[in-house]
Amino acid sequence: MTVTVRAHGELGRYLKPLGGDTASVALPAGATVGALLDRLGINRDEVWLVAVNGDVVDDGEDRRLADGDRVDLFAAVAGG
Amino acid sequence: MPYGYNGKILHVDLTRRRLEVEERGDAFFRRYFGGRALVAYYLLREVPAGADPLGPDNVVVFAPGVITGSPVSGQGRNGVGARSPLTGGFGNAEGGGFWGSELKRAGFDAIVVKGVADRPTYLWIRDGRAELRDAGHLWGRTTGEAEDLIREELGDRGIRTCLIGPAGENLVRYAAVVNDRSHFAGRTGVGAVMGAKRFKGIATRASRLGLVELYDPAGVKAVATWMAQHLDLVAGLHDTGTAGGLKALSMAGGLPTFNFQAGHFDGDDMITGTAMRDAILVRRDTCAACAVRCKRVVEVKEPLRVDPAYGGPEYESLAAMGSTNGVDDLVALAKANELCAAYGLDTISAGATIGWAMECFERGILAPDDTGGLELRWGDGRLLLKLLEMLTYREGFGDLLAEGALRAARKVGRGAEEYVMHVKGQELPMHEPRIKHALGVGYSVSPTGADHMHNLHDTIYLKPGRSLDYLRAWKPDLEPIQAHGITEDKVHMLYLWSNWRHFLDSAVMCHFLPYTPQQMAELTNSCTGWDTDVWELLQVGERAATLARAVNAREGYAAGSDTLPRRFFGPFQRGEARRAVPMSPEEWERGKRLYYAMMGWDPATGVPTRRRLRELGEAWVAELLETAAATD
Ligand code: SF4
Repeated sequence: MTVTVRAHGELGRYLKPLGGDTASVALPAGATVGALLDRLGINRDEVWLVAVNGDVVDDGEDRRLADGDRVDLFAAVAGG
Repeated sequence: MPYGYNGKILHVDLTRRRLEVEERGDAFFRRYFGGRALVAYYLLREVPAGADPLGPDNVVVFAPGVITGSPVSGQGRNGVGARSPLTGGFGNAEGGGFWGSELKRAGFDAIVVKGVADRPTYLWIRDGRAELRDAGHLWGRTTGEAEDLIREELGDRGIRTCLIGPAGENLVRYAAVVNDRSHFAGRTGVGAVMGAKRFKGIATRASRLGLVELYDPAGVKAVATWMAQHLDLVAGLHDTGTAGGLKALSMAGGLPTFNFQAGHFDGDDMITGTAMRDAILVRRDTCAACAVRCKRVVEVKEPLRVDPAYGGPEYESLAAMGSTNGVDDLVALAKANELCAAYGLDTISAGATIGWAMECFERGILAPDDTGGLELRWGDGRLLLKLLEMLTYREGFGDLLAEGALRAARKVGRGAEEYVMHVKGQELPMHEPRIKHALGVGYSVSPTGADHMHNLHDTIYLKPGRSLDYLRAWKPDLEPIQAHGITEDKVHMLYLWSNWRHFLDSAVMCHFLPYTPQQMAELTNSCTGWDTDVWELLQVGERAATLARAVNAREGYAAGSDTLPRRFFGPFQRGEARRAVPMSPEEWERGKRLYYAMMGWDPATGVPTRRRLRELGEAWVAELLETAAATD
C-alpha cells in the first residue's frame, strides 16, 4: 500500500532528501504509523501529533494505516 | 581593559540636553549582564515610585549584553525597557537585527534616557561619540522613511537604527521600538515612552568590526563553528520560520482563534509558514552574525503592495492578527505586518485588542454607534488594515483601541472587561494555556504581564529529547511530563526555565539557538574571561526576574495582580476541544504559590523577601521597597 506523508515544522527536514515536505511511501499492508516513522528515519520522540486524513489520532504511533491514507506529522512547538 | 563589554553606559538627559558616561567594571556586569537585568536595575535606580510612564521621570533603557557584538549566531539582539504605559509596571522587550550589535561595537553597553526634549530629537552615536540631533523632519515619518532620511543626512548607508514610528509618537500604549525597520522590540509599549519624550530613537555606526575585545577569540569561534556544523537542528526554523508550528497548534486546539473562544482555525492552512514560504517569501533575513537566518522577507505586488523592506510576519503576528480575528487572508496579514513595522506597533497587542473589539461587537457590547459606523466582523482582512491605521493615528474608534484592550474595555463598560484576554493589562500572546497548563501559571507570574518567551511550554517535555536534556543541566533526574495538570515538578521546571530565559534576555542571546547551558557558560567565559557556570548564569536570570518583580511591587503590584482570564478555566465557546482541557483554578493557585516559594517571594503577597534579595546581593532593593511601602 502507499500512503502520503507530510512533515510539518522541524520534522520537515526528514523529508527534504525525498524532495520536499511531502512524500509518497510504500509500506506493507496494515503497517502502523510507527513503522512509517522508522522507514523515514524519524525519531519518534520528536513527534508530538499524528493526523490521519486530517484528524488527529489518539493512538499515534500504534495507528494502523490503510492504502491511500494521508498522514501529517507535527513536532511540538514552544514560544516564538 | 574589560573583555566582552566596554564598561560604558551612556546617560542622556533630554530636558537638559546633557550626555554623561557612567563607567562600570566586572563587578557590575557580572551581576547585571545587560538586557533585562540591566533594565530592571536602572528602573529601580532611576525611576521614582509612582512616576507617570508617559512623563519626564520615566526612563528608557536600551541594553544589549555582554555576549552582544561577539561573532556568534544569536548575539544580535538587545533589550529595551521602561515603566510600561500598558501595564504600569516593568516594561521590557527584545528586538533582533543589527542595531544592538552595532551599539556594542560603537563603544557603549547601554543607554539610559530620561527627561523630555522640547522638540523632536534623536541620538547619533558613532565610534564612542554621542550627539543629540534635531528630529523635526523625522517626526511623523514611518520607521523606514526616518531611517532613509537619517542615512541621507549623515551620508552613511551603513547606519543602523532603533526608532519609533507614528504609533509611538501618538502614544499608542503598545507602540513598539523597531530595529533596522523590520525587527520589533514589540511588547509593553516602550515606543510610547519614547514618543512622550519626543525621542525618535538612536542612529548608530561602528566603523570597525570587532571593536569589542574578546578574552578568548578562539573559544568564541569554537561556538560559532559548532553552530555552523549543526544547522540541521534549526533547519525547520530556517525553512518555514516561527510560523512553521502554526498548523500543529491548530490541530491540537492550541491556536488562539476568535479571541481565544476556539483553539482550532479552519483557515489555518492559508496562514502557515509553509503557505507563506510557497506564496510570498522572497528571501530570508537574519540578525547580526546569525547563521540560522530565520527571518522572513515577503513581497506582494497585487492586490495589495507589500514592501519587502519591512521583512515578514512571525508566528505571533500571523496568529494575533490572523486566527485571533478569524482572518485567513495571508496577503492582508503580510500587509498588516508591514504597517506594524512602519508605524511601530506591537503586532500581538494590536491584533489582540482588535480581537477583543470583534468579540464585543459580536456580543452586542459594541455597536456601529461606538465604532463610527464600522461593522466589526470576524475574518475581514481589509477592516484589520483600516483599524491599524485608525489606532496608530488615534482616529475615531481607533483612539479607543490605541489604549489597549483593558483600558478600552473599562471605558466601554457594559461587561466588556470579561472579554479582555490579558494579564496586568498586557494582551496575551498566541499560546493557549488549555493545552499546556504550566504556561498559564507562567502567564500569571511574568513581570511583564502575559509572556510566552520566558515561560514553560509543557508540550515540548512530553517525550525524551533535547528540551528535557536542556533542563537536566540543573535538574538531572527530570522525567517526561504530562501536558495537563500543574505538579510541583512542573512548577520547578517553570522556575528553572523562566529564570534561564531571563538570563538569555540579559546576555542578550536569541532563544532560538540550540546552545546548551554549558555552551552558554563557555561562550560567556570566552567573551569575558570570567569563570562562570550554569548555576551562576541561572542566578543572573533569577536576579533579573526578582528585580523586575520589585519594580512591579513598588508600583503596588502584589499576588492579586497575578491573574488569568476566566476563559481558561472553562471549555471553548466554539469548536472541538481537541487537546485542550480547562485549567483547574485550585491547581493554578497552588502553582503560583509554589513558584513564589521557589523564587523566595512572600507566599502571601508575592513580593520578593528581604532575605532573598540579600542572597542575590541586592539588599538595597529591599530598602527601596520598604521605603515605598512606608510612604504609601
Ligand atoms: S535565530 Fe532568527 S531571530 Fe534568532 S538571531 Fe538568528 S536570525 Fe535572528
